[in-house]
Amino acid sequence: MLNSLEIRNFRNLKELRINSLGSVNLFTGKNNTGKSTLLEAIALYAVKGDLNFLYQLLNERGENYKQNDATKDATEVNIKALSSFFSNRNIGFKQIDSLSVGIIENTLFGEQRSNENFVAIQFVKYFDEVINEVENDMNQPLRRKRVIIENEVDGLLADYRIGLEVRSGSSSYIFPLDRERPYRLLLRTIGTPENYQFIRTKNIDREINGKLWDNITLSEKENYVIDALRIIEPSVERIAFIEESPRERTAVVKLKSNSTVLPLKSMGDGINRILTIILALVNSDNGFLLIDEFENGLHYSVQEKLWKIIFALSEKLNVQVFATTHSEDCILGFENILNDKETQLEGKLIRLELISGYVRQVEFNADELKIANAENIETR
Amino acid sequence: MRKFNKQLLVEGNDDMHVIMALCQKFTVNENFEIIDCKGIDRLFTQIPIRLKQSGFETLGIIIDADTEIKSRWCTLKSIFSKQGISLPDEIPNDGLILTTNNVTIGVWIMPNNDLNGMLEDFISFLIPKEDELLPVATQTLEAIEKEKLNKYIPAHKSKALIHSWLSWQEDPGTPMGLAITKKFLTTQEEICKRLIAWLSITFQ
Repeated sequence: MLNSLEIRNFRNLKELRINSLGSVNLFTGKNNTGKSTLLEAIALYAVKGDLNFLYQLLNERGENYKQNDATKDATEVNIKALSSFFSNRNIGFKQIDSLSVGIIENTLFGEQRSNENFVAIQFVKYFDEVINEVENDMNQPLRRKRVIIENEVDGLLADYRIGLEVRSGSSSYIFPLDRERPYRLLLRTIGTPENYQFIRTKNIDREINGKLWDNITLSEKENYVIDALRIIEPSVERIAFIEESPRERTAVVKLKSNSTVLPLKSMGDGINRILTIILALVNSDNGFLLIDEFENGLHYSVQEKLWKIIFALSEKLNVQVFATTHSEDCILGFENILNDKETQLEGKLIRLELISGYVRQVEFNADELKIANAENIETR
Repeated sequence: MRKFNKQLLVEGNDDMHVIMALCQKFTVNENFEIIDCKGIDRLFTQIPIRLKQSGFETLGIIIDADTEIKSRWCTLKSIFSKQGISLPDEIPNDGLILTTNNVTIGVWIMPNNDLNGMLEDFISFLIPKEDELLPVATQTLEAIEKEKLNKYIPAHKSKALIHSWLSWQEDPGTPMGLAITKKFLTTQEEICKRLIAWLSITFQ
């Protein structure tokens, strides 16, 4: 559970500090204020800086530049690609240049980023120090030692390589950048990754849905899925996944009083998006659920009902939810459920704004949201 | 729904229509939204939330002094101080206008930022000097109060007075705002001009 959040140097989030977060958190704000980036940052925290995740993000944005000549040093290409994660595409080698996501703690020096619960990534200049305490077959370097080169002259003299250091808590590792896609070298995670599911704006359905269904099949979680689908189609009785073409599984449903099995895809975007959200939710136990553009594909009348289910399962399965929205109806539905006397969870609405080049936030707690909705005050 | 960055909060429906009628008469640029808060308490609770709106520029407030203008001002001062905005110890005679943190705050307390009273007291200043019905209304109220026949409380006397006077005009039952538009009430009075000046400068 992230009870607070500090993000530094991650894309357009140069320095964002949110001192308290609830179980269910809704983010709004104009385009380009960093809402999706915020979700990416939380996902990055969950995977503890896993490079596979980073390169996947690069692929999606078309920024995974490939090396044409496989024999050449890929450092330049990798730096160019990875620099897109740093604010202003800054390529720096000092600790202050690192991007980080972590929890804020009360320390002797005031409120600072936690020393345990964080992920930090930065470019480093390093050299390999070979430690041969025990003779091994490969005679490979057993440890990479980092040298911080502050002085340009020293930099020219030393024979260094450039890598990407990923730190999480007390663990860290330096990934060399001279080969193409350095993560191939190592099946290594820094620290313990946390459970999370990330639903992107464009995900009406996700390829992973079949597997997510398999994970919960024949458990009571099946009922949660059916209940959610019934928000849109009350006569849904059962759902299953079938393999239509090799390695492509799609959802099919059976409706009450009709023996035909229907592909869920034929029933519109709304119900498919709900399936995607609910499958992700019931698979994020004790972890995070990230939903970008909550309202996507959903009519306003459906959104409050979906929030009700999300709040209930968030509590039951201990899932912390982060969602973004542009929709007034989404915020209305969110507030109604948040302030419902049956809801025990804490939640808030946070609007991100760009002020003088920095992203800042304006927060609304449950009471303030209640007044805002009652008096028709714009919170977005 | 389009939202304005400049908003004027008023206590009730009558206040809203009076302001609208005055704005029309004086051709004030209506670049702001008038919001009927349906009561002073709801008006007060809205203030901190409205200040949080994205790109918000100006918050104007018109409230009644009621029986204790100092107490009303105190409440406002305390609400704004929690938002880091410091109001002066007393409201200026021409109403308050102050700009801080890129937000303009304006306050006018009916009837004239000085006396106790309410919207209806302000309206009573707009009854033409030559009017002969006002003394009749005043006497009538005194007579029924003497017999203790009145159901209104003393604090609402000016409401009884104005609505009685209005019911004897050319179109009986005309509300205050419309009475301004129909010229039953004059807008030449100094107090009117001061209110309009405050409004114009606040929302310029």
